[in-house]
Amino acid sequence: MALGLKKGQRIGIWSPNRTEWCISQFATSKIGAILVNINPAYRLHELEYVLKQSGCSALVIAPQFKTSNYVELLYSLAPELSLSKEGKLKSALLPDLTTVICLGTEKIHGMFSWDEVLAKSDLVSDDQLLQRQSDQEFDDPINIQYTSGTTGFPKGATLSHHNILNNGYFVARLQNFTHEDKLCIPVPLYHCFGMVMGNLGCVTHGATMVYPSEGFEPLAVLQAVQEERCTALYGVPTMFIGELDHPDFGRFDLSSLRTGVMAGSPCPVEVMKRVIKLMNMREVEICYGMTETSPVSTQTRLDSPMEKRVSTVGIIHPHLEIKIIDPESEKVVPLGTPGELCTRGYSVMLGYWNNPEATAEAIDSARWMHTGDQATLDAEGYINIVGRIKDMIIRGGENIYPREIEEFLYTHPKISEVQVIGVPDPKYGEEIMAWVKVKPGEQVTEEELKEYCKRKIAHNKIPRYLKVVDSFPMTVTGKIQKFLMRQQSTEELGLQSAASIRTA
Amino acid sequence: MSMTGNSKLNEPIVQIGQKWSYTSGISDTPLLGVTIGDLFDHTIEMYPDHPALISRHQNIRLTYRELKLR
Repeated sequence: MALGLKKGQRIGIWSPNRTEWCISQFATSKIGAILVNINPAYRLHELEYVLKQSGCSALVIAPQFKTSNYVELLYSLAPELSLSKEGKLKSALLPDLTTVICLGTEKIHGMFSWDEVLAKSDLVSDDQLLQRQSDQEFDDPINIQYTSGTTGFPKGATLSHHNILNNGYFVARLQNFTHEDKLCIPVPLYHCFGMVMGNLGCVTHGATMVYPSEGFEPLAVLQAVQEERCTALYGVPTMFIGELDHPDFGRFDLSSLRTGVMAGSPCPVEVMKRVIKLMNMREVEICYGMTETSPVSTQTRLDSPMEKRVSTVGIIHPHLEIKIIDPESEKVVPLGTPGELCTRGYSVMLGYWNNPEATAEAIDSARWMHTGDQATLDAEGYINIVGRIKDMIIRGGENIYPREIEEFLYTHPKISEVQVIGVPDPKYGEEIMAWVKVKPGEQVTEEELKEYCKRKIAHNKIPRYLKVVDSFPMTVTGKIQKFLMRQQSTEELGLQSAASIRTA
Repeated sequence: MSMTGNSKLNEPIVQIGQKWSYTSGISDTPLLGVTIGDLFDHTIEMYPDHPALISRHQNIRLTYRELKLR
């Protein structure tokens, strides 16, 4: 407030997980400024895009993270910083941006240091702050999150107090959180998983937030859980796999763990079972959702049968609605039939920032958010995510769901992670390909894998191609970018001509 | 604000005999009709001296009261 920031103005934050992230989140909530989460993995092109698209007037940056020097990157976008007084930037490229705050004590020309900003808070009286706080309504926008952009330009999902406060509250409540819980948060704060399910989940219950490291490091997570006696742990499946497969895993005492959430990308049944058994997370739950729905729409429950707890994304969240429709006719499908999952209720975003066309495409006139995810609902209310609407492989006219083959391959003793894609094929239209990561010290051949599949899964589901990799192309939150895998494999396998076959 | 879960949240959601893929979430807990700032203040009042945030790589530990002061 002392910097002249007004209600509704956008403040960007470009930083890995740090205390200052959390403080900025609650400070902006109090003064009614809209926090714009900027992915720490972004580079110049993406940073410029989101700063311009959201019209940020202020930006909080960490000095550096991993190989990125944020100060240098920002200087190259706005060289005027070197001649500007702090808070008075006039940039040709970023006309809205006036104020840059750099975390830490070091003074960088044209920027306030974090400590200077903290000192300025004395200039604002408690009454002024209270007045500002009471000027806000719970339906006001408070946060913009750019969706990962697995295709096209990122879109700024705009979320209100009501959206994210309630979602964080119910996610933690369904894990039976109290003020005595300590939650280890290795997931990024710039994403809903960190700032909503993590930070807001804790603050709504008076629980303790524990940040193990700036970015994900399996060892730091295991140490944090042991030394802080954490009762809960969050993660995307890849993180849990990294922790379980860490060479020192066995020497950590994880007996304080009780619960937690696995989410962010499809959760393999085998990994869930290992987490329950080997990490003592007997009450671990699976959540499903998307940024545009604050994010969580379904969650498994403690008293669900074990089979449902590891093999479904659970049941509908309190106060929300889900329907599954035929994406062509838009009609609700019978129970058990795959279709597009749509969500309605308090959690649906206000819209995409300054993008009414994209908003109208995503949210229909009856207020349903169309997720693009393909799901089924069973008679007991449990939901399964079978893939993305566009992720489905059509091989020789038969619909094949990669998820099903992935689940099967996870049962192979040498396989640590697997992703299944469709690659072009002149005969079948698409053929099945598996990308696998093997467990440390193991090797696997194409023949071995095919032999393993024979008689266990239908012949038309057996992967024709195998690629052993160290990692998958993915966004920082663990969303696998299958379109990149498909592109790469199409080239490597010389299938470009099959890819160019046109169909009616 | 330290409400614990309730098994009523976990009752089957799809009504018996229903054939279509539609489900709605019942709850015995109302939605919160406040801003994040108001909720934050409420928690600080309830648990001022309780640890709020531990950032291990920065070696920072803050109680809810200290988090507010920041």
